[in-house]
Amino acid sequence: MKMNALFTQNEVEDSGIILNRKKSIEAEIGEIYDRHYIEIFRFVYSRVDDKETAADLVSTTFLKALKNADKFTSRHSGALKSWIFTIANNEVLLHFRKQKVQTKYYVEMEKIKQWSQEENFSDDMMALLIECMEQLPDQEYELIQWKYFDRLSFTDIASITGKTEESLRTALFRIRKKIGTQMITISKSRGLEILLALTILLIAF
Amino acid sequence: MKPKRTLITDRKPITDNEILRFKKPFSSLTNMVNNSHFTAGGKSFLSYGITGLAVVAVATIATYLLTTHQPETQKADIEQITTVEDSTKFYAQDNKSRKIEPPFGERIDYEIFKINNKKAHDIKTKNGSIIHIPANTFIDKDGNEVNKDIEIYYRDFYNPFDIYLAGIPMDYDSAGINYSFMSAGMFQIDAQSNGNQLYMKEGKAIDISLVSEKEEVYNFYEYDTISNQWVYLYREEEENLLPLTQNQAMEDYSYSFSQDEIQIDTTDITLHPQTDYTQNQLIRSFVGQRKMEVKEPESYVFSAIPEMYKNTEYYALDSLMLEIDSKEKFKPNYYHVRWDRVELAQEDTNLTLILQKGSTTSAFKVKPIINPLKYKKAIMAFNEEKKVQEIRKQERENRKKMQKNLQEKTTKFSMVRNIQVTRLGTFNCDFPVPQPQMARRGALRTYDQNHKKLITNEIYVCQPDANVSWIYAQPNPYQQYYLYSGNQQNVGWFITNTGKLAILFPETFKKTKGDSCLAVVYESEVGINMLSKLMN
Repeated sequence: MKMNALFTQNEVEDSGIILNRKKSIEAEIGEIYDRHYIEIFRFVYSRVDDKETAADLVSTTFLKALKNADKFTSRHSGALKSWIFTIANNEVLLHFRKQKVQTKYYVEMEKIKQWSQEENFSDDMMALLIECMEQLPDQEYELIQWKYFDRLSFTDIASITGKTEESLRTALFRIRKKIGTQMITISKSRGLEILLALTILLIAF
Repeated sequence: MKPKRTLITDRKPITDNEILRFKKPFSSLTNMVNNSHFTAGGKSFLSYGITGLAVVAVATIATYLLTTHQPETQKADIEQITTVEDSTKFYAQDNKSRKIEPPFGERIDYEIFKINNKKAHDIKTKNGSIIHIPANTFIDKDGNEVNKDIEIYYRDFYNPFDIYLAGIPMDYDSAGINYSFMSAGMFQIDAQSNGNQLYMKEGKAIDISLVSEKEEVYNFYEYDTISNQWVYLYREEEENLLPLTQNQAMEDYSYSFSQDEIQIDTTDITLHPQTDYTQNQLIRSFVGQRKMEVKEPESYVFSAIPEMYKNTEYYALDSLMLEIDSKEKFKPNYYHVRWDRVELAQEDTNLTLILQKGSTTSAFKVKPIINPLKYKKAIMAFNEEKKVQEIRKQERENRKKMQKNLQEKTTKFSMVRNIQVTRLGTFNCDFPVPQPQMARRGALRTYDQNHKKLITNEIYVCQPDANVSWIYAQPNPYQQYYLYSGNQQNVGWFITNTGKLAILFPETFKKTKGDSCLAVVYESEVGINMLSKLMN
């Protein structure tokens, strides 16, 4: 038996080699299930306590997507994926409403480190960054989490939040600015040596 | 400023493979939707409640009518919808089936065990796995029990190259996505009698304690040689996955001392006159709960309870009278002491009575008073028992050695997966994984060490540590690359059009740049040895 693709499905799509598929939405959801299960699982798992709950919520997400497939109008597979992320997000919120507990946010230290490295932050600055993120309102923090930790596209986030991609870009710019200002304020109050570095970084951040 | 939330950063990261273990077959989700096992949210609970009640009522009536009035065939159709196998066909539905075909002939040896079908057997394989076969497990093709000796053929696989050599397919695709099975241990088991294929009797099961390197829970599959597909059987239970040292099946072979081997050392006994004496204590309370009756106090004769002389040559006697030999040290009031310990030790033909109370221990030479005839019988029984004990001791020694050998052989295995099979065939603990994510690309255009272009149809790329390999082929112009993980050690191979074995060494993957890569070509025998070494 020969494997019939040397490109992954992602690569085929990314490189624009999209075959003229006339598949039902169900089949497309199936493809998203295959290709993005891990991504969606991580998205859900970053806000729930255990793996089993995450797995249940992801299953429910796809069940709802299948059940409501006829309500999805766009034929663009990217939009379908975003729609499924939206359902997943709603499932998480519903889960917390049912549990009557506050939303939790889990983030792997590695992901914070990765983002910090991309921003050229030192370890001290990374600690400040975490502190500042903890002070952001939920909606603002979620934008940071989705963009920098979950690595979602603006299209996906736009679908989840119901906002336009442009407004999200602007919002993210403002949040970054806000975090930078807060970092400077905190470092000033503590007389930290990284103040100068932060001031310079603020321009870039 | 007071934080609005606490970011939880110390949770153990979850790996992609762990996540994939939670992934149900997509067909099971579609089945749930199609069979209305699931209803999406959106309406009020009340509306669902009323609708639900109506549906339940209708369904109950319909079910009753169906089960009481439908023909048998229709009932079977209805039941089939919810079978586990049905929900797992997703894994293989798009798979182009292929047979088990060793590419270089049979290279992986079977271990052959000759057993008697009338008896139960515990077979230990060279890797340390244990196969428990109950008595009368096998039947012939006509369903008759086999009375002759039979041969069990067994082999297991712990690396992708061995699996490749055995020609067992480990790949499948679904909805255009390529997957491969990551194995935690695969085995084949077969039985024959005089060259005739045997089968397992219905209701019989073979328990296998399969040694494994993987600590996580996997799925369990059987290879269906008719449809040439892997068939999902079940998901392993955590309690059936045990560390090698804790596994009961292994412990059955472990060595333990029995009571009859306890040695009594009398060399350090110090003699102290005992002063603890209570008049009210009866003679029968000579020692703790043990009864000891003084027959002739003046002549220092007493009867010993069997427990006292069980380690001596007199053990076969129903009763034994003993007389204190070292009378000058022994005081009659010792009979009244509630001793912590009373034992009789034997060295050659000498008997020693040991009495201990707290930190004080006294020892007295004693001699048995017995009828010579009884003594002769007792000695014969003792010698008989001694032989049995020696055989048992030898058996224990052998087991001890075997256990040591097992441990030496199974050092790379940390776990035991307890599995039960009711059929003979090929079985695998595994789960499907997609091609490497965030992967690097390697060129399919390969050259040998003399810069000669190599022609092949498919290339195998594997991660030995993860025990998984993928096949890449080039049936269309887009397929110019194979994928590999930059974080893992990779090994690749393919058969050239001249029947030789070309190997992509781990270093090749690190150096590969551009649209071609270097493979080292070997004669098949040499290449097979080379790859086997690389995998181990």
